[in-house]
Amino acid sequence: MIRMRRTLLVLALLLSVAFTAHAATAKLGEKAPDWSGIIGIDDAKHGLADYKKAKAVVVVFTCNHCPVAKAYEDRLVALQKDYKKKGVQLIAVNVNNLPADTLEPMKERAKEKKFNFPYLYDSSQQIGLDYGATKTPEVFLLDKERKLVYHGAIDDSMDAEKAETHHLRDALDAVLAGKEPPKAEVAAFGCGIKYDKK
Amino acid sequence: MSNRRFPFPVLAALPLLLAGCTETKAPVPAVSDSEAPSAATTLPEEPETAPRATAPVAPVLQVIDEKQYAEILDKHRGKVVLVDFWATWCMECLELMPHTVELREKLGEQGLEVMLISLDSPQDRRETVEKLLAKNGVTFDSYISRYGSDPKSAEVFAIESAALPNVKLYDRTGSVRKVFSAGRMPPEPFDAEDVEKAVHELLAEE
Repeated sequence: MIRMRRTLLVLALLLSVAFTAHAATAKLGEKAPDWSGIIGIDDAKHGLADYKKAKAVVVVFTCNHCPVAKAYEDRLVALQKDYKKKGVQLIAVNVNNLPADTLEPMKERAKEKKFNFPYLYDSSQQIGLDYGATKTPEVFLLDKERKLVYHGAIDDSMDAEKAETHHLRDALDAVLAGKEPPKAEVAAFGCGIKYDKK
Repeated sequence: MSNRRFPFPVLAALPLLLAGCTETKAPVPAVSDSEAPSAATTLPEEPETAPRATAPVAPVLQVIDEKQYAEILDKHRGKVVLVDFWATWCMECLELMPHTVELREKLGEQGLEVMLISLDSPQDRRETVEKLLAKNGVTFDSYISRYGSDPKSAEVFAIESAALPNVKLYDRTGSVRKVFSAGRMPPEPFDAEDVEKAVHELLAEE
């Protein structure tokens, strides 16, 4: 029994290491990785510095092929609409290189869904690696100083009608009011980002 | 990289260890709501163990939680077990599924056991799950998480970053030896060949 307890203790230690090691590369409370020169569906290059005026920046890793990401598109459009006047800039980024996830299909999708925010394509996947993005959709909320203040889920249900807790909106409201988000990190399922093997 | 990968097998083995610890072996419920209740009521005399081989019976999709997962793994002790966590909304998972089915056909006799576990809502998505299983040639029993696509599924089944696909390989002693997870950074992205290679390696062990 003592041995078992010791095993469990070791396990607990390993678990804490595991969770620390797997935290996003962009770290909560720290300045988020900068980026620039990423092409958008407007054929122009975008960088984080382009959005200096924004009081908060929402970087959403998304893509065309993932049904979960698609299920959230309308919610992202609504969010940008609702928070634009409050000085929030949403930026959607795709780093997948599947055929459906390249620039032309992205342009089509954005047009179809009337995206009211930039939709960027980083085929080098570097921004995903820098932020430690693992799936779509996955949100990184940066405050006025571009520190990461919230990471993870948009809300608590893939099915828009069933969503009850709107984590991203709650975090935004808090940040805009100069407060800490109710939760800094919320897990949600998504389609794993397919990084190149290299 | 290795310090990132190492703890996860341990994490996934935790329910196993805990189950072994408590000695409470509740029977795995054999009842599944996918089995037509009308058929069962018209044949009340037939023992539950009646051979099913005579008539083609739709494979069972059993709702499981982490406890039952540990129990099922326990039953497969002595075999290499491939657990393929998938969801109807995960395109990459659906691309992987035929490979998983093929591995079972090809290597079952050598001691490979395959568990397909859908992380979809058993209430809302069962029909779609069954359709996709049939479409991908899954003629054997498989599983669906009682927590569906809720993050709870990620927690109890140790799906890192809650990203799918996620494939776990257990060796013949029941230890997690390899976890393939989507969303991992290079050099850890995986494809079907990587899974097959790892299965062969584990099968070669005594």
